[in-house]
Amino acid sequence: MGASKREIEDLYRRRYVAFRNVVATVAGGREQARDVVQDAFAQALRRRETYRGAGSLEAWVWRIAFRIALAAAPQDLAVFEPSLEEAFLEPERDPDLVDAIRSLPPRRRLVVFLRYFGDLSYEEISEACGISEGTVAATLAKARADLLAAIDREGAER
Amino acid sequence: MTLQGDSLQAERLSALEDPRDDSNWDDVLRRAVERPLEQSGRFRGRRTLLIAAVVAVLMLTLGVALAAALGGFSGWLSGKPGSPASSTEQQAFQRVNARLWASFPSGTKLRRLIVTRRDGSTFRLFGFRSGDEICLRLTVNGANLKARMSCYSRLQLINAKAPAAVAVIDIPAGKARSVLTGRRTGLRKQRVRIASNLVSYGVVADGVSKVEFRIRRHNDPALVQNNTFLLVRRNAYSRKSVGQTTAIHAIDAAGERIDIAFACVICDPMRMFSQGKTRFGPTRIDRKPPRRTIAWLNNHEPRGLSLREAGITNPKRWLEGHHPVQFVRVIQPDPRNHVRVIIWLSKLRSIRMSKQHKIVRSRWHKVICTSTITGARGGGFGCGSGLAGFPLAVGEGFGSSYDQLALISGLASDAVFRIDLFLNDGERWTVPLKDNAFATVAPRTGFPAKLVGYDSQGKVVAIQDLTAL
Repeated sequence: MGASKREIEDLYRRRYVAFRNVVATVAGGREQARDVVQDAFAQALRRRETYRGAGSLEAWVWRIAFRIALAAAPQDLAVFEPSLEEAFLEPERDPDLVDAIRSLPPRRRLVVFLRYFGDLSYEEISEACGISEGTVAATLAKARADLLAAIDREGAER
Repeated sequence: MTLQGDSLQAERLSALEDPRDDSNWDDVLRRAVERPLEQSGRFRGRRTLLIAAVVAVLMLTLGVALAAALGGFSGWLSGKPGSPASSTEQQAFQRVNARLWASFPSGTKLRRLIVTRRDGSTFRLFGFRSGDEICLRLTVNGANLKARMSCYSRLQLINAKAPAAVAVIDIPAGKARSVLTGRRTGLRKQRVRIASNLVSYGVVADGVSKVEFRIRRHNDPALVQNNTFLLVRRNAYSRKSVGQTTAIHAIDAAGERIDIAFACVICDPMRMFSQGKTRFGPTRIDRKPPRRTIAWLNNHEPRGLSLREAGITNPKRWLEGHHPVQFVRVIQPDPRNHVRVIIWLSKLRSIRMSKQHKIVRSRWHKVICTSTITGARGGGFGCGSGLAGFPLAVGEGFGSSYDQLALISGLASDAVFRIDLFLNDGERWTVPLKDNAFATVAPRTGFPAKLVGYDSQGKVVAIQDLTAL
């Protein structure tokens, strides 16, 4: 099957910012994230013939990016704790939401970033993280409920 | 404060996102080519040797496939074509390089590619790789044209669709000789001196064994050695009698002839006026930028280098010969390319004359001047009233009519965050941009082209058509 160079370039141009912002939470910094994303797309270009078309091209590149990001700190993506300090450009703009996200367990937090920063579909998140679509839906539902509860609690306390 | 649903969560989260787009596709391409070699540095000792041996065997067996994947120019992109230049040749290059205002790194090693003699002149073609540039340098003994430099961007060779890329076509070179003119036309006969030869050269992919120039229904074979071709043919006073190059073909080992595109200004001078616009890239501006200024320049911030730091000596005669210099800096838009852009603030006097030719009004206008300096050519400059009306100002031209590589450079206003170049063959390149100066080299065969400026949100804020050949 394989992916064309043009398809990978189009994906890069459309989705670079989303990739960088989500990967920053895994790689531990924006500069590191930029490096990871550049390497991930370079690797995707080199290995584009091996893309079998089983899932979306984007999910395939996400998997490459996560693999590179985690290479330095060999941990399982499912238990990896995304860095909040690197996730937000100006956390002071919405402290309630930032605190609410901070209170989420690591895996839920990562799925939230992929959904909202990465704008990935449930299917793509499942492919990128290697978990089932049902698990993605359940994780996101729990994350939303946790976020609502946390924000309401903080709002009531103020 | 309550989150009411998925969309509101998305909205609030996206407000915290970093919207800056610092993407660089060229960098991805570079990494895609280079990384396998760089990664060998992670391994040590015997493992390195073992991997190097495996890579070498794979390179040999998969050479053709790899060359195809790289656009066929792996010899130039990662190899070392030719042989090292002699110490005399290397020293001569270093002396010239040291004098350049935009010089290459002092350790740049010249490779000898092709040497040939014709009509009493020796033509030597050298090459070297520096950063993201692949340069050819032609030197001619005993001639008016002593040397000429042409640099491809690495990107051009990576994305090349044909197995040869022409750098220069039919440039007069070689010993001057005297010819008699006016015989056929009946005009007064006179003797004029012309260069004895016309020279064309460029690079070829690994699998190319021959390059032929179609001139007056004949195929004129070029010398092909070390991933390079060179054609030296006889010149005449009249282009008609010497014949124009009408086609160029590269021939591979299997005998397949592949048409090589080139832009011939001399063949068709009117073409530069009749060109349309490229059909690629955006056609509408999404947002008019609010301010068309360069803040650091107005505030006299010391960006880039001073003239002294850049090694530009005795600039006064050159710069102030045109306009008084109020503030000047030298910017290198791409650290992996030697091209530099000199930017200076100046003032221009506009006067109004009476019928008696007396000055009745005189005013000074603030202007921004730029000049792009390269190892190949340089020194032209342009001045304008800031960036009024144009978020993108293309300040430098496209080289001589013989050059097949066009230099595109200029200034962008603060509103422009990224610049893309859309070539007429569908290629899209990100143009290096730093401190509001941009510069890139593109093949003339890709024209008409289009420069598109984007703001930090990815919106189109400027479109500049490049229709000149």
